[in-house]
Amino acid sequence: MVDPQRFPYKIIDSTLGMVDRMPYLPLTLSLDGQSLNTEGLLDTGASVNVLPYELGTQLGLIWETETLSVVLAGNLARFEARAVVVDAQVSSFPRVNLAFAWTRATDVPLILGQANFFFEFEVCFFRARSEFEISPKQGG
Amino acid sequence: MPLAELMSQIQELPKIDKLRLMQFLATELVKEENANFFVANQEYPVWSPYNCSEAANVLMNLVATKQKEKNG
Repeated sequence: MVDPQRFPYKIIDSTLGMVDRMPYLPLTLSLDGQSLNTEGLLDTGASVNVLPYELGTQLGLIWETETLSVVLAGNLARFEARAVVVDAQVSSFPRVNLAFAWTRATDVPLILGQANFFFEFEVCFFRARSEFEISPKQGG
Repeated sequence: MPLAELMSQIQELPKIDKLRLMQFLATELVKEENANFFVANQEYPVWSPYNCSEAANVLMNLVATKQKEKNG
């Protein structure tokens, strides 16, 4: 049994008091020897994980060779997206495969959504305390 | 009324009124915070790809395929 890890919410804009804090999770993405330290927005309302275009290229992904298209909704609907899988490490937990909709959009956070981030990790939000707790899925 | 004077009056209150006062102050603080929830004319983008079951299925199948490949 791995101990859960607790993280503070990230202050997005300190002029707005307690309001503008978001649950960003630090994580390391890697693909074919390329590694990238980044952070993802925990978004329980998102159906899928979303990888911004520039992070994909930094990991060595090539748009033209990723041919599996996916269609996104909301603000991202007007951008093309491709399905990709990368390795992800959160804290000292075992590495997992995360599938992302790699979007052509650039001005977008890395989003950690239901498929498949929330299938891999158990997350508990303590919004009033501006903290969240995370652990790998049981039996995973 | 200066705060020092107010506090000496509060000390004289019975316990139940002190508790009511705590509740009142907590409500006031929340009200002040709520006033900051939205700033007029500021843009609040919502990037969440909500209700994309088809895309979610594609990703889940892809990750299952990759894992199967990895495990031989």
